[in-house]
Amino acid sequence: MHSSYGGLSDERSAEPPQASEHPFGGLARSAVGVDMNAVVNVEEKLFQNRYKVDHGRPHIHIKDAQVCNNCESQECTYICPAACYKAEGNRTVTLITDGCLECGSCRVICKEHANVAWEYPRGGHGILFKFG
Amino acid sequence: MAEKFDAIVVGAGPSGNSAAYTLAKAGLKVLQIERGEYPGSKNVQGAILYSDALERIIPDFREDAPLERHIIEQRIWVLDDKSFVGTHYRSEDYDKPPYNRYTIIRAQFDKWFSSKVREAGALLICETTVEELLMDGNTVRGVRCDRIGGEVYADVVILADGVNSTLARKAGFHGELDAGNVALAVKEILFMPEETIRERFNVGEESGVVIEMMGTVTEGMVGTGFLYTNKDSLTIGVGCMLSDFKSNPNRTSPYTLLERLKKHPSIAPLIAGGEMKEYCAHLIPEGGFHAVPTVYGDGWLIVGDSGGFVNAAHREGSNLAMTTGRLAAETVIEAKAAGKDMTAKTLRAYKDKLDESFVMKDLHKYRDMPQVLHSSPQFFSAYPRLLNGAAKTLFTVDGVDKKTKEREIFGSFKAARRVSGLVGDAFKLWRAFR
Repeated sequence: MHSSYGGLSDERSAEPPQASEHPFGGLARSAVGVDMNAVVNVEEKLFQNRYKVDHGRPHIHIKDAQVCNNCESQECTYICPAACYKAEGNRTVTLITDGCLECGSCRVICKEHANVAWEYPRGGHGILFKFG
Repeated sequence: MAEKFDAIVVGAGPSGNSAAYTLAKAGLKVLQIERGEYPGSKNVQGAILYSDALERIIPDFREDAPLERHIIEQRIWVLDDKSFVGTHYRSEDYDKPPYNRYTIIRAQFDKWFSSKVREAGALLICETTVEELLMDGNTVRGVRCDRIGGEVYADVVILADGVNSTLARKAGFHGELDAGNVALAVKEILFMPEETIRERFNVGEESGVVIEMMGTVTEGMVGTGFLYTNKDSLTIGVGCMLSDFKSNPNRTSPYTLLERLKKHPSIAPLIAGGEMKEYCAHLIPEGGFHAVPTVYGDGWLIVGDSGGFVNAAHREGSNLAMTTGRLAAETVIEAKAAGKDMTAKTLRAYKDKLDESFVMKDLHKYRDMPQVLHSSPQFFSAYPRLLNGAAKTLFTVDGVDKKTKEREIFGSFKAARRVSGLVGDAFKLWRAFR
């Protein structure tokens, strides 16, 4: 019943196939050219964590996709410590919350646009820290 | 369930548990609501437990609390890319009970603390997220949970819901956090045999070491790294101000900083072979004195991270959390004993207690620190390089006379900061710390 981060591969499979050697899609698609962040495999880190994913009920939403398209900096795409936000090539930002560590950074850095609708997951769902 | 309680405590971290324990111990009817599967499952900390704050709540906590290692040695390292200059303080006095502080693993510690809260008589409900406060005008009457029929009422609601403080924000008690007032920290726990830790850190079976680090690893961002010894694991992490992550032209991710720290030549041998079993991230409210919001009102009190009670200069948070939780509870107990309503006027006594305690005294002492550091990236990039360069020049024996080496060192400092800059920086630091 408690799935690890690997459990989200089903949901990702609905997306177009991605050119990446990482099982969950790489970070190499970042907005900047050569990306130090891409060298670090954050998915491997998240794989160690325990989650109870609330399937079909993500607790964070991007309110208006167009606001992200117009956002110059798209800081969420490198600051999110779980790399939930991805910068697609066409200036779109996509969000998949399954690996979310519930820190709140995305909401705070987007204060100026207030484009992140942020709630805690339903009781008992989301990240389950074994050590914390 | 239209049941009414004397108090509802939202959250089962150090502040919520301290509040709920103190209230229940005094015989009040307490409901505590926690969104995690068990207390601790949503909580992240370095983690160092300072004995004093807990001793004032549970004097004999050492008998059964899950403690990792008592700390006998504090190291402070200033890193450049290849080296560090450090000071270590180790004392036999720290190796004699009662111990001053311990490393802990929060998921285990919070579970233990929560068992004490329940023994004291509080009712704990887990796996339940509080969605909003139930208001009657300006007065908080209770909470709405995400369980069916989840409206619960109480004379007072204590908000121990953590740094994001979602409930107070939704109720309009204070605004959104500012990126300049919170640090984003990431960390990993690395398991290895106990004897490896004993050998690498020169400690005994139960004693341990903490290393606090600053330097080029944060790319000039205001931030620090840390490495703590647990019983059979190490915790390694790094955190920087969120506003600095935002403005960093390199657009470096927090996990990239962590990876760089782990690969630093002075750190890699200490953690080599460690098996990583969890990766965590958390915000830390580091805005200090000026960022503490209004923490009481009609029918509500704010404690712990939710109220921004962290002394960033001294890496203290959980002790402020426990102390604010206890003081909030004592305020409620006294008000109830006096037969008073839980109005803002009554609950103001909480703020007075905070002001009289080390909590606000320390936050006030370091009130200018966040601003000083924020406007002085040189403390996190130029100085670490200069310091390490100076040490290398001084300690390398290469036939150059010492007088020339001294000139070289002073020259490097003057070239980087000019004399006026050096004096100004020293003054800034003195002002911030005095």
